[in-house]
Amino acid sequence: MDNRTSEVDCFSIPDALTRKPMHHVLFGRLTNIFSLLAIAATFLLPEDGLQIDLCWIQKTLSLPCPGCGLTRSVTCVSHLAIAKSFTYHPFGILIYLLLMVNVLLLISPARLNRGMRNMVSQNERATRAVYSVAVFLFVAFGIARMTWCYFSKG
Amino acid sequence: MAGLLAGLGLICALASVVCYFIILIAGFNDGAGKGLLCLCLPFYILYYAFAEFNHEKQGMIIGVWIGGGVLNGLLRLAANAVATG
Repeated sequence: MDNRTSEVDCFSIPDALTRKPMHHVLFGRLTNIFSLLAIAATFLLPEDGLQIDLCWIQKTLSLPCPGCGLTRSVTCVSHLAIAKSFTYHPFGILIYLLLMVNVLLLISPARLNRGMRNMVSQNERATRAVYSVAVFLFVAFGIARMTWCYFSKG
Repeated sequence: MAGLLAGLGLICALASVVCYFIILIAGFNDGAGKGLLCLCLPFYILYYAFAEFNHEKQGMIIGVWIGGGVLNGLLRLAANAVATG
């Protein structure tokens, strides 16, 4: 028997254990604080943004990245311009909901936080599946939009 | 010649974008906030790629991402220069 193989087997950590728990992925401290700042900023920013282009993909390739329009889309939701939000980025509303849940968890009592954590932990696999599909669709939308813009420009 | 340079630039850009997506997805897997920061905050993805991104081919992915972008820019400039004479 090969000892080296058995050593590797003993000490290798299953993939599921190295993954971050979903409540940490969705409602971690960084996400909480970022959400609070982002939601606050959306009320201050104009619906059409500041017209400052900070996207390096847009600058180098002249194509929109998957996040282009997201800030304006989320800002439009705060200004109750839902249809406009959808035209800027279809995932804006979904991300706004995620940000709002994070803000609510940040300002809510610890008991509510524990309740949410337990709920997500109990449905870990389903939450991970839904989140993975959402990220996949987000990236797929980004790729499709880039491809569309590339070919429509000729 | 200009077309060849532009084509090479496009290949570099494509490789760079693929690596960008790998880093972005890793960011989202690490946390929704990190993924959104990578998208919305211009230089956070650079910080994330060097400080937190964990992948068995980390060096290659970051190298292709940055190198591909730089090469694309240079090749496009060269293509424009050749085309305008």
